Amino acid sequence: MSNAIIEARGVTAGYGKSVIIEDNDIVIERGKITSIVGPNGSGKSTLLKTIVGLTRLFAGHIIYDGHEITRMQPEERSRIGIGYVPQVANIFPNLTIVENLEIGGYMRKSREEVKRDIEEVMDIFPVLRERARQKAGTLSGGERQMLAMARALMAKPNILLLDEPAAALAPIVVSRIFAKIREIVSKGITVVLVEQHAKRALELCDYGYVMTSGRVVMRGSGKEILSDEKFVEAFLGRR
Amino acid sequence: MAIDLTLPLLNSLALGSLYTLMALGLTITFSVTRIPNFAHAELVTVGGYVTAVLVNFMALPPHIALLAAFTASAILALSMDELVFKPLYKRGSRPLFLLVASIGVGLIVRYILFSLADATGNITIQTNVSVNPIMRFGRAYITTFHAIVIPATIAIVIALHILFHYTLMGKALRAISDNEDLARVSGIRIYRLRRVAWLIAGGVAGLAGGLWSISLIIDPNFGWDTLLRIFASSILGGLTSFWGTIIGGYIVGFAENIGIALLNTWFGINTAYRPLISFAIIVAVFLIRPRGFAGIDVRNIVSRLVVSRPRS
Amino acid sequence: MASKTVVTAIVAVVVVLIAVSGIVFMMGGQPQTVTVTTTVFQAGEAPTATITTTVFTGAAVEQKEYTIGLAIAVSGGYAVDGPRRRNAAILAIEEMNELLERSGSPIRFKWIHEDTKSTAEGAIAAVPKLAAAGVQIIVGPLATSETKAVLDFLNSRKIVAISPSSTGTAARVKDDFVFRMPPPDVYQAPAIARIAWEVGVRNLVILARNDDYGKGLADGVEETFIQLGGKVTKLLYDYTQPDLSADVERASAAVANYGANEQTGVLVIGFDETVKIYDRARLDPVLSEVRWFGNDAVKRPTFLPPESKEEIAEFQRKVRILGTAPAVGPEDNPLVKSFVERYKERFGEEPSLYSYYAYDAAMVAMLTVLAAGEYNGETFKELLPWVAMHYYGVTGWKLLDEYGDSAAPLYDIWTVVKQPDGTWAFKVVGLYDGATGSIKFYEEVG
Ligand SMILES: Nc1ncnc2c1ncn2[C@@H]1O[C@H](COP(=O)(O)OP(=O)(O)O)[C@@H](O)[C@H]1O
Ligand SMILES: [Mg+2]
Repeated sequence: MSNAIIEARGVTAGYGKSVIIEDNDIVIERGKITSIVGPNGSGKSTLLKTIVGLTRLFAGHIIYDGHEITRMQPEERSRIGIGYVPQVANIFPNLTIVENLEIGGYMRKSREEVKRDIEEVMDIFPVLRERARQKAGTLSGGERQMLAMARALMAKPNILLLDEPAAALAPIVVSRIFAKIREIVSKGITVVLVEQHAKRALELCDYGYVMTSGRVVMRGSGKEILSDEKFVEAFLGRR
Repeated sequence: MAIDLTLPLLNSLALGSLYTLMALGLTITFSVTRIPNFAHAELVTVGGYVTAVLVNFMALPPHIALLAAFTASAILALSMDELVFKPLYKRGSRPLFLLVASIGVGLIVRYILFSLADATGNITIQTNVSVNPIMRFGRAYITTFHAIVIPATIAIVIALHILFHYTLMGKALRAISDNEDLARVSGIRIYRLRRVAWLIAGGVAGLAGGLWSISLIIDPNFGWDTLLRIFASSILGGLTSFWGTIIGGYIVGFAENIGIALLNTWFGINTAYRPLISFAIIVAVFLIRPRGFAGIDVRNIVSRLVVSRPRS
Repeated sequence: MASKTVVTAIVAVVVVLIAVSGIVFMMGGQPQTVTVTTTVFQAGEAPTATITTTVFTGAAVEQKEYTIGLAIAVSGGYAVDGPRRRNAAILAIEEMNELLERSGSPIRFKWIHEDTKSTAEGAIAAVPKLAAAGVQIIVGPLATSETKAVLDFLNSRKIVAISPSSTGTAARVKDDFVFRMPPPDVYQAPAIARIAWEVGVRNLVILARNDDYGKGLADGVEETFIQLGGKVTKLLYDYTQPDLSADVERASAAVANYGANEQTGVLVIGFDETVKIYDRARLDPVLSEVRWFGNDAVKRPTFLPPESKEEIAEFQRKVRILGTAPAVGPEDNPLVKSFVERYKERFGEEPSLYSYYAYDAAMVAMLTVLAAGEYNGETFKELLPWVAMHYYGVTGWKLLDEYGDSAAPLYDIWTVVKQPDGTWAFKVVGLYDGATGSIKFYEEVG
């Protein structure tokens, strides 16, 4: 795996004194879509947060682009190209939509470019333009999700970690979001997608991980996992 | 008897302005750091003393002294955070610990002030700027103090509004207030940026103390004795809302002056119970509307009132 | 190290005691009391403890020495004025000893001082130390709060205390062991009410601090003023508040309601915070049009330049303020003049107001001991009112009422004036005699 953008080795992490995920090895390949699936509470979100530095790391190493970032602050990690869209609380509700996007481009040098990119984003999502000066807290669930992704993209990340971007959304919105994800990858951005809805995530991805109870229990290409009997029985069979 | 409310009205405006200035800083630091900073009181007190000492003993012009008060309290606020709050926060201290720590920091500053004031024989002091009547207004005089403090408050509110809404730094501060983790993963260096919050909060508190020291004989306790009102104002606005705090400051000012005048006239309630009004406001907000006015988008209401849009 | 010193000291005390009792036995004489004082020193430091013991000795010792305890605060709130009051008591003792020596009397007075630290807790700690030293009569404590705190102790141990400055109603108790030299507040209330009435005020707005002192005095003024036929509006303010605008505003409204004219007056009953009230009121068009009155606590340098702003003094003059303060007797009294000279010569500064009372308190204490002929608190309590009744001191007659407080109160009536050289001063313009309720103005007060 020479083309890894992120490698996590023996990662044990959690919150405060409680360990949530234990001894996990994850490799994310550059330019690909990697999915992490598993039941609710299995630690998928915690794993993503650990990569961006928002959890307490008890053991292990995280390597980004060949550099050790294990001890790096979250703000510095985002500055070297790691983008992240949390599962919940993924917008600034009291900032306007434009301000959300401006904060997305906070660390970029050229304010002119940021302005241009905001225009571009609003061309893609006309709903955001309509309500550009309104508080983001007034947006609907689907609109929020789009704003959240747009905010993360404003930073021009090398890798984007998406935590259940399609949860609790109407099917039509889900398909728009998945289309958007494919578009992102096509621009050369690596994507990590955390999903509870295992089937659609594994169908989309190049490589997948399955987590239960804080541990990665299965890995392989999307097709491999989907064709694994044990997996189908455990996760898809009785649906 | 007919009630002439001109004098309580003027008192309300002057004190409401001061409460607003003092409470804004509390709201700003609470928003950005989630510390209910009880030592905020001392930032007000220090501002008052710096102004009074510079004007009375060094014969500096008042506006220079106020600038110095701003600077001194800003630096004090920053040091409080760098030396005490930030290290505690990084170690994962719970909000309650930070609250207790802030009471401790306040005590230390207050007693240092006490000993300095005592050693120089200035336990009580008042800034030597003559306050005089300008014109008669009903039963009251509009004085030079009104002419200083009300415009100053408006100017500071406008300046802060511009900072928070028209500069990237201000927007980043609001982003931290809204969602700290999301701000961090957006590349905002929160531990650097919060310095700005402390500098502004301390500075404005010091300025408020300095302005007040023109009309008030101050002592090392005066900030602490006002803290109840500062918190009441900020809590009315939901502790994190800029415009909510401004409205809160004036509500406290009006409740304490016009409110007590009416209570006294109608029910014979003594003015000695005036501090209970702020206390009642705090309790009522916690019981009835725990988020204060945070849920109310005041600007939307105002813009709808001001700009009459054609219906499509 | 410290404990070693203490042990040595205790051994020394025991040796002294054995030696003294040995002498008593050898002489076989009539036992009499004498006091032995041992002061324990720790190397290079101030005395750490004073152990005073009363022992029996023989008739061979000619001199009799009686102890006056001084329970006077010299730290805390009284850090400045406390030492002056203690000095006055010491002066009295020295003068008495001089007299006794000249007359060939074997009697001498000595004093022991304990600092009550200006707090109730301090007094509770200090007074038992005097009691342990065998003291039966005390000058002190200074404040009403301190006095009240040790009242039960003094009564149960039958030790007499004479306070030189407590005036509060909280320590006004009948048939107790505490006597008070200055006129208590109960006399100041009628004084203020009568003065206001005398100068033509019929409607009085009272603004008083919301504590025992303020409420007590305000109630007293109200009572007398209504008896005289006047109307009263009473307002209480919370003196812990930095800003008193709302309270002053209510006073202004009350004045406006009565009409801002010669028949309306404002009385503030406060301490140092009164200057804040003046500062607000001077910018009030209504309040500056009527006459103001004040209590004894606002006759202080704090209220005049250079300690206050010029405007504060100007305001007091504008409202032609009249206030009361315990008088030290008619100004031209030769007794007073002589005391001031002796005090200045001995201590190099002027006595403060309550130094006069401390001097009289010590004198009354010693005269009581002399009259008793024995050193016993219970006897002192019985004799003291009689001694005081026949005593005229630097603070005038010391007739006591049934509470053991001064019953012949004299109050100066003061106002604020600008002197020809441009400085401001309090000027005594009259005298109120509480025994008769009569008012004498030395000059026209407008
Ligand atoms: N901030 C937190 N503090 C403490 N425990 C948490 C926190 N967030 C999540 N957890 C716990 O960690 C476990 C895994 O949660 P999570 O990573 O969100 O799982 P998933 O994303 O797979 O649903 C859960 O038991 C959850 O209760
Ligand atoms: Mg999750």
